[in-house]
Amino acid sequence: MNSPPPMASQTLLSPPRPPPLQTTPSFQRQTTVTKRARSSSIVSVQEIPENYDDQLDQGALTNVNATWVNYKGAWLIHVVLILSGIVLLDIIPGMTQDLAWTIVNLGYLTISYIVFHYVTGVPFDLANNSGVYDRLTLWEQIDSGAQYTPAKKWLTTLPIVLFLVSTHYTRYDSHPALFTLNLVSLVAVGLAPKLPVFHRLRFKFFDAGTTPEPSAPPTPVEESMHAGERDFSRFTS
Amino acid sequence: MALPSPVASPLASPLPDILEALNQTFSSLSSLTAKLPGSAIAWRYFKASHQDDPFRTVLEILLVFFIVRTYAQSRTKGDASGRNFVKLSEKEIDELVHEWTPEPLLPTKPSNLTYPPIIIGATGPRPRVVFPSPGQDPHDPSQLLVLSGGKVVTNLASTNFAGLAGNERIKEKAVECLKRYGVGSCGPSGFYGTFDVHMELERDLAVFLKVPSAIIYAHDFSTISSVIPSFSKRGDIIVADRGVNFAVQKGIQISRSTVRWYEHGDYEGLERVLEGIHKEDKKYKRNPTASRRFIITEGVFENDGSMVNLPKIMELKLKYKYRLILDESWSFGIVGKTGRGVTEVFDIPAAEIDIMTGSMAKGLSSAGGFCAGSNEVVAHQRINSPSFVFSAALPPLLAPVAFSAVLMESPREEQERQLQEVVEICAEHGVLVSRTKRNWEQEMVEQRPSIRICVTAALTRKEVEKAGAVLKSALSKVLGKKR
Repeated sequence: MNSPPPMASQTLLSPPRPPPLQTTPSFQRQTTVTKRARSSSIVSVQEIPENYDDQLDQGALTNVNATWVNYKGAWLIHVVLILSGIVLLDIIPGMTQDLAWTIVNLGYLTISYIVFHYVTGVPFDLANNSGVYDRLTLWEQIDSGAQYTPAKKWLTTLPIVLFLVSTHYTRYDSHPALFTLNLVSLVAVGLAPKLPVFHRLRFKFFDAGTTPEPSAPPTPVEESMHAGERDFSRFTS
Repeated sequence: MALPSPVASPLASPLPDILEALNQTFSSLSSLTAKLPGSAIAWRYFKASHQDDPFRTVLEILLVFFIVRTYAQSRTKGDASGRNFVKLSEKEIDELVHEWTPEPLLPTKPSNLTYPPIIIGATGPRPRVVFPSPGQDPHDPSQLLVLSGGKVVTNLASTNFAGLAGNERIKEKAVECLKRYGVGSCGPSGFYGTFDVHMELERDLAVFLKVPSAIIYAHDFSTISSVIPSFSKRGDIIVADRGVNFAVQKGIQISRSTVRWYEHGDYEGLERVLEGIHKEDKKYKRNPTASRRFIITEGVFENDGSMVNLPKIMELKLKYKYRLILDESWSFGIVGKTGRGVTEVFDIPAAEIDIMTGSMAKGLSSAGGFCAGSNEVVAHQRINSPSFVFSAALPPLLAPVAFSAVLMESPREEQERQLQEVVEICAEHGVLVSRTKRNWEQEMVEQRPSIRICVTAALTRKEVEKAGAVLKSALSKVLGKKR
């Protein structure tokens, strides 16, 4: 970062002069942003960047959207919902144990994936700090992005325990396909998105063109007005 | 595990001994675990879960290990809590505190700094001015500045474009208002800070500009820097002139929007930027209506005094479907035949500017700022514009000051006086006509002052023609005099 000119110790002999007007059109100017070739990759990974303004805004208000996850009642409701799901499915005549547990397991994984990893931003129009969370999932909003917090440990443990309990109560050995389905979805849907390695990463498959950020912005990135990024050196010379 | 060596050893193999030892260990372990409470349940669980499939058991044990590992990890820092802070030991902190020397609260006295001249009394076109000698601090109590004497100068430094500073009529109004309301507004507009004069001023500004509605702010700098973020949010797109003033820059920064700049006064560059955004929308399949889009520019630029090419901006804004935020701080009350700003210069109705802000401190020699626009634009700001909601309202005595400045610039009173003159001359020559009387405060649409002529069938043709001639000569006498 360029340091601002020392104000107190140094006096200017003449008022600071504005930079000369640049007459070349903005798209012809040399910038540090390199033009990225259009990629044809099968999977494209994009990181949601964070800047100083975002940090300021996130600290400004309590994010009501994410705080409920830490309540003990919210921890308990997962267990209650899973148990009631099992009871309701067992009532249906002709329902086998294997199928009931598979449905509950997959159902829990799907719903928790949608809630924690699919929906971004703050739904229900709560105080959303001028949209600072618009691009973050609920999992990334919990405890302002800190990892291995009690709530996150609990939410990681729960699908694993559910899976272990379900294998205990079922005879998956007669249905190897069901076992594989449950295990693979546990790892892929339940555990992988929760790993800290994938924090703020977005994966897109066969979809390289639709990244929300253009590869080569017409206005260079460094010219956007963020505090702490402005170059003061040209005013002092 | 290593296979037994193919070369048979003549000595007794150690294998049975090892097996024996293992067996003993296992049996002692199992007897130990059997003593633990609940071990039978756990063992039963393992057996039931195992289901004669070691591969499955291994997988499940791995999952259990994953849980254990997760719980063993310690919490990391969040996004907002300064992840990049250097972790210092107590000793290092003590050392840093010890090394720290505080900076002086005031800057050390600079040697060659010149202080600005001081106007004695109220500002005006020809004020009396005292110049501090180089290096003399006028605030220094040890060498007080002599404020008598001074030099009368021609003032080209104050923002007194209409020459209204020190105007006696405005002064009278201000004193009258001061006696009635006191000095301060005592609160934000939403909390007892609104006075009748504020509402009158808002209405008068709206009528003056011929826009549906207007809202006044307590400070002109915080007007535009609050109006922009109240409409444009994170994810919205702002296309702005690179030469906009500091207040606009702050507004853009606070709005957290995506900003695209075009070179100052380069309207082809503006079109290129707009075209570029349009192409990106197509390329990335973005919905153009999903984000709000604004063009932000100034009427007369504070930084170099150049005027915006408003017709070109309007054309582009309509073509690419953008809203226009126009800062008229340095043009309202300053340019245009009747001081209505750049919209009057280019003969574009002010109502076509989506959001127009202006300053009452510059053109109107009062204080504060205003924003004019549609009813929706103004109503939105009353609860969503931080500087309107949170800062105390304009001191009430300043509102009629601006108000009378508006009236003075408005030709209505002057026109009515002239028409009255016409009516009086007609009466002298024996023709009775009447000036149209209107309740200007309650008119929904601004009408122009007029003379009402009711021709009656009871008069002869000659009499009517004579009356017409009288009226014509009276009109040419009064209005011709003006030219």
